[in-house]
Amino acid sequence: MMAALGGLLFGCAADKAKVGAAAGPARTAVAEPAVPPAAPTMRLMTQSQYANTIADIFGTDIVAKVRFAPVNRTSGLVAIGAAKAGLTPGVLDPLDATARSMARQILDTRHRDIFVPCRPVDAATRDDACATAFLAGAGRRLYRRPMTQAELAGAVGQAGQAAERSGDFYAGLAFSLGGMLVSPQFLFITETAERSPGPTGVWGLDGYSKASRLSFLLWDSAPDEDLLKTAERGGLESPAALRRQVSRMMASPRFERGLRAFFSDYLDLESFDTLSKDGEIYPAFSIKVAQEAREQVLRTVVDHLIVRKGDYRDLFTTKHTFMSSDLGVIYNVPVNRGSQGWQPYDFGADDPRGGLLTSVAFLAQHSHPGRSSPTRRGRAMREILLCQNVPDPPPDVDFSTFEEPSAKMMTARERLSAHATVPTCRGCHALTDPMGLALENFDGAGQWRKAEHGMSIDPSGSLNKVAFKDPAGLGRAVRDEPALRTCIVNRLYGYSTGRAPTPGDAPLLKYLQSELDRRGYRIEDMLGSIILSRSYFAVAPADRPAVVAINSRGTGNSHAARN
Amino acid sequence: MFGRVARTRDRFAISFFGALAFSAGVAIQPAASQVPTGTIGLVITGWHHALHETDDPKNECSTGYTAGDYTNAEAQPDHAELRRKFGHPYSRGPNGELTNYSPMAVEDPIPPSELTTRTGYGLNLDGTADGKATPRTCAHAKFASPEGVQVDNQLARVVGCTKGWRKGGFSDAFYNEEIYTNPVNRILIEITGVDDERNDPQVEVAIYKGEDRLTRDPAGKYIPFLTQRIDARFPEYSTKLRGRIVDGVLITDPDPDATARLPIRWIAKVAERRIRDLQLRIPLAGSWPVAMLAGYEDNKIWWNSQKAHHIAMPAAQNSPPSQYRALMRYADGYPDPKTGQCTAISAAYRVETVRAFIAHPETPQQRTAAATMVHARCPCSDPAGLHGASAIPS
Amino acid sequence: MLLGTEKPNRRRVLRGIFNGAAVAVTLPFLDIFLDGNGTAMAATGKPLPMRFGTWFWGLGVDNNIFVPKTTGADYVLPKQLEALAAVRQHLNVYTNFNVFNDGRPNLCHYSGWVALRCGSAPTSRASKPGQSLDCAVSDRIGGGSRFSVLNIAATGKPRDSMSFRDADSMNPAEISPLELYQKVFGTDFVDPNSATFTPDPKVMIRKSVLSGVTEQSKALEQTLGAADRARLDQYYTSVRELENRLAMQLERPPAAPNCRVPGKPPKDIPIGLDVERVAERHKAMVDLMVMALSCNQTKVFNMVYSDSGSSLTRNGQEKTHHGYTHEEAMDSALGYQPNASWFVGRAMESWAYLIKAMADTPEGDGSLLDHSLLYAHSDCNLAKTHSVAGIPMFTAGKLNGRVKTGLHVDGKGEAGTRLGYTLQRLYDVPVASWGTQSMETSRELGEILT
Repeated sequence: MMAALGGLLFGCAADKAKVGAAAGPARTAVAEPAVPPAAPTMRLMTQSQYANTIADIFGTDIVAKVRFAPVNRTSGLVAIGAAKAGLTPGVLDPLDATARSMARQILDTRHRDIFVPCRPVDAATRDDACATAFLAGAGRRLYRRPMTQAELAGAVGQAGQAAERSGDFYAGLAFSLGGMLVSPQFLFITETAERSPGPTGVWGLDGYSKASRLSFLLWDSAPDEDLLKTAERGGLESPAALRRQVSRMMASPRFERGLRAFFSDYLDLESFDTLSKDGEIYPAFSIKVAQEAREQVLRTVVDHLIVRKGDYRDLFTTKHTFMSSDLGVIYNVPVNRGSQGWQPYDFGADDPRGGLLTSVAFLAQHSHPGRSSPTRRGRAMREILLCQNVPDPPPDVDFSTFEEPSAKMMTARERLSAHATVPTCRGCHALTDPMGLALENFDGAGQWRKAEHGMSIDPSGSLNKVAFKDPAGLGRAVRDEPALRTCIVNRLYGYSTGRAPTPGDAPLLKYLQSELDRRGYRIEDMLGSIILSRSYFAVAPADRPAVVAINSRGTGNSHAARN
Repeated sequence: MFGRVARTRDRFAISFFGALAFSAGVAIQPAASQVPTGTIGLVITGWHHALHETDDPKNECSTGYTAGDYTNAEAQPDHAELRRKFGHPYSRGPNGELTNYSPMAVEDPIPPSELTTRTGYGLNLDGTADGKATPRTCAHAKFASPEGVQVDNQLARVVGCTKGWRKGGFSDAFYNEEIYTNPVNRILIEITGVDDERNDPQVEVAIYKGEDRLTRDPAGKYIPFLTQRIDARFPEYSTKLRGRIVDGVLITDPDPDATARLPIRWIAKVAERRIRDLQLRIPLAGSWPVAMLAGYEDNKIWWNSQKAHHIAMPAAQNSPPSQYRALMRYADGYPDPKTGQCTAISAAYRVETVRAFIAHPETPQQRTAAATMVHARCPCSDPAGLHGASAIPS
Repeated sequence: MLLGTEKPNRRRVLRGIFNGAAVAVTLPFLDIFLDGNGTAMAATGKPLPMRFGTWFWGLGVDNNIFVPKTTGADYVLPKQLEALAAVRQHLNVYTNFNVFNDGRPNLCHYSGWVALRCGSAPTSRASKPGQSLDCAVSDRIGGGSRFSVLNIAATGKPRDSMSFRDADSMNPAEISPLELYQKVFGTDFVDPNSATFTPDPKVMIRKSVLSGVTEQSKALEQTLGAADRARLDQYYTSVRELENRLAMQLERPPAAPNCRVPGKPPKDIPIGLDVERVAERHKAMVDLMVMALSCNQTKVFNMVYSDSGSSLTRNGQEKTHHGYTHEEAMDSALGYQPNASWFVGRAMESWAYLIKAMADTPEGDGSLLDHSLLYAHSDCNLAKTHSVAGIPMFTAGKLNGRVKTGLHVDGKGEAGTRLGYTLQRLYDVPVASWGTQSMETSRELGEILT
């Protein structure tokens, strides 16, 4: 396992750098900059975190079927919006119904003996000792920390009263558990700051908060018992122990879920639940195709980053992907797997497809229901992949230039060329269209075409100053674009901390990027470098002046807080 | 306890992590350049008797629709008594024989309506212009196709005035929905050796049984280019032909050895077809070619597939006594050397297809890959713009 | 019976219900609850409940076929309003009202509707400078029904909601007829017309559990910063709404003589933005919403017919409604864009459907619509230019006789918030003024008040 993580973390080097020792042989020692501590976050669980948590604690046969309300994407991520999201009645309502339904299932006659570690003296009334045993165990996993005495007493009291009223011990437990499942302690992932002991004590996340941060990042779920115990023992304080846990977690099959969750958020794959195309123009683009297009991206990401241990940047050029038979219809390739299976598929060297940009998911998502959109595709590349901002169109544009008085403008390139003649349009369309036009060989459903309305398509374009002649060239240009690297580090950092990086974080992000530039952008290195950076767990209590303190490992430099 | 449960779950956690690692090495590569010749794959989506029919059956039939089993039963003088004795309306024989199993046990009181039109569809199977007897055929009247070609389709005379087998009739509609819903009816046509889809002097044609579903768009139209796997369990259902492409139309060579055995599931009963001297004519343009498929249906096998459906007879408006007699009377192929009675009947079908990738189980990479090749040469051939071209540039 | 898989145990149930006191009330029928005139509840003398609804369509109108030539009553119905002919007596049309951005950017398809919902133009796409007015109205009149607000998106997209407490606290939209049915008429629904009423003993326990949840999480507050404390407070408010709803379930629901509980769940409608499908989804959800109102399940609702910057499609055509608004040439003979305008016409048909459905539902001395006020608007005027000057608005319903109908009101270029302010006042929302900067107003639209 450790061998698999040999690349994780130039960890050793970072440790040495901290104490000022020479770094590894291949690098010039640059000390890792510390960043000012941020306030702890209170994040609303996402739908997948909720479902994974329930499945991990209670098993997959407990049905946790609920659709969460949409959360504002903030700084490119729902994960950051979740740290600001409120729970209106309309949001709480389905959560409450689901909580009760799950609690009933967990304590029904099929499951109760699995989860309740004791038998009540009399199943027709309360039994506080047995209730305590069950609720304390469940609460520890659900709240991701031991319950406080008050919480436990309250929950046991609820269970007892409900058991008396209903004449059923297990019903009592179900009511009380239902309450815990809709409580803010469960639904909000609340970080807590603590000060390390001693007169020079510094502020940082407490052990349980660290465990949650790691677990939701790497597993998209609550910590398991091992991680909680490690946190309890203070085992996340030492870099070596932290590295051990991270290694263990990355080696777990659950890591795949963590990766899927990040890329679903980063690539904004949420919209595939409601992505539809005009049935007459794109008859083959069914709901199943939309869902499998998303799944294809996630499978490709997991295969590339975990199985092949590939460099993130190569996701934009890789020829490896997976096909289902319905997707095969859109890609126009055979898939020898029947209606349900997935098959590894490699595009040929001369095939214009390869990489995420030519995936049906990307192409169809950033198109109109009835036709492609170079502008939308270009904007998505800029905003999602390169973390750049493309301004909205000016509201007072004179659209008469773009009217189509005749059927003369056959291709999107012709239609969009008009924008270059209008000064108010030119600036933004110059950002988006030269990228997007390179994908015009793919229609609004992501199907290959050589021509639009009978006119041959010219897929040449440029990204910044790099010109290319086809989609493969676009893929290579995006792969090599420096902003791609800045962006992924930025988003991973924001995703894992639940807050948008601030100017104060910039030196660290720059440092991480320079490290990764040397090592390559493999997933364990990207995540490892963030998690093991000295400031990763540095928080200061909310609404208090940021007290000195940079990191909880005692080597913080005091000026960093003012940077 | 929660720890225990969670750990247990870990073991069973769904992950294709392992599966991926396992399967990563067997990725299919389309590798167009490896395949020297092109392939056209088709899967059958519709199967109709090739009938020349108008909205009013009187235009083609002497007395309109032929009377069905029930109508004939009621017209029998002993109807009430038979019904009382045997309890079933189709127990029309003197000993209660069901008409579909014992069609000769009784004669229909109402004369069947006979096809009167001289126009018909089919292919020229016997090679004659006038339908005179040959060593392989019995004398029969030919149809003239709308283009003036003399064609054979004696089965049209057996079913052409039966409401259920005409356009939109019960048997026709039922079977065509079963083609969609039931993979037993999945029949694949693969044309290989195609160098030019417009004109090619020599191509190979194979028919296989498939095993996969079909998909339709919201308007009910079949989606092209779904992969169809050959059902390796049934090699007996494959047939090989040779042919050529002339001006975009595939024409197979007459071949007395070409006998197609095909599975058929019709009105919930599984049976078989056996078509000898199989010939195909398929205009290939577009994603939804409509083929003419013709040959000699074996009388017995054809009747066996019909007779299992006595329950459906009233809906189909067949009357087996007349129909069976018509079958024997019009049969025009493969005379019995002793009796001279022909044992097979010329038949022609209008077969709807949709283009597909055909996957061979034994060498999936190479053979499936071939299917992309030719298609790349026919961009923009379908009006819906569904598939102008393949993923491989030409 | 409290756990789903167990069979009812009569002894246990009886003991469970209020510690042994089972309540099973048989009641005679319902009209006795209304007074002789059918205008108030007999027992309390209270007027029939007021309802409030909003309706939104994207991409505005074409002024020269939308704006009536005369103001006041008896205007000649312009072409784009023809779909509303059968319900014109129930509605007012408001033209020439403006949204002022006051130097903030005109965020296409965003500034307009946000300003008409919360009184101020947003500063960015992430901004919502206030709560939407349905929340204010709901706080005033929403009590006594199960749901304070119900939201519906006929687009089938959960993000298409225009009801919010702030930018990060949306009230999510129901997106399918089936889900709406299950939410309103599913397991927790108590039929107000049921002859017997047996309070569910579980409800009492659930209520007490929810109080416990609040108590046991109070300690959390101490560790939070101000912003997160506010979010926790909002959570508590939501919990209280759940508790109130449970409290109501312990009492016999008030009579609802016109409540017709839908017999079976509606069939679900597949996703998609084709106009026909959206209209079908809209119709199914309107039918359910009307019953939810009649059955006292909610008093406030918001419906989104098409999203702002409508991406509705017309089967087989490449361009969306939005695409047409920008790329279709103005037909010089007609004076508008025929394809884009077609979509607006279809929106008006759906708007008419909602009005008619409520007008056709009897209640007391009149119709459900007579006791309601519906507020409809778009995100812009002429979508081609994203103009937020002259954003079209409607109201429908007389709100228990407080509002005149059948009128065309010319705003003379004033702030569109005047209508939003007026209707909040009509529901006795305690606001002295509404909106900010040029959108601020404290003047009611006198011409529509009786």
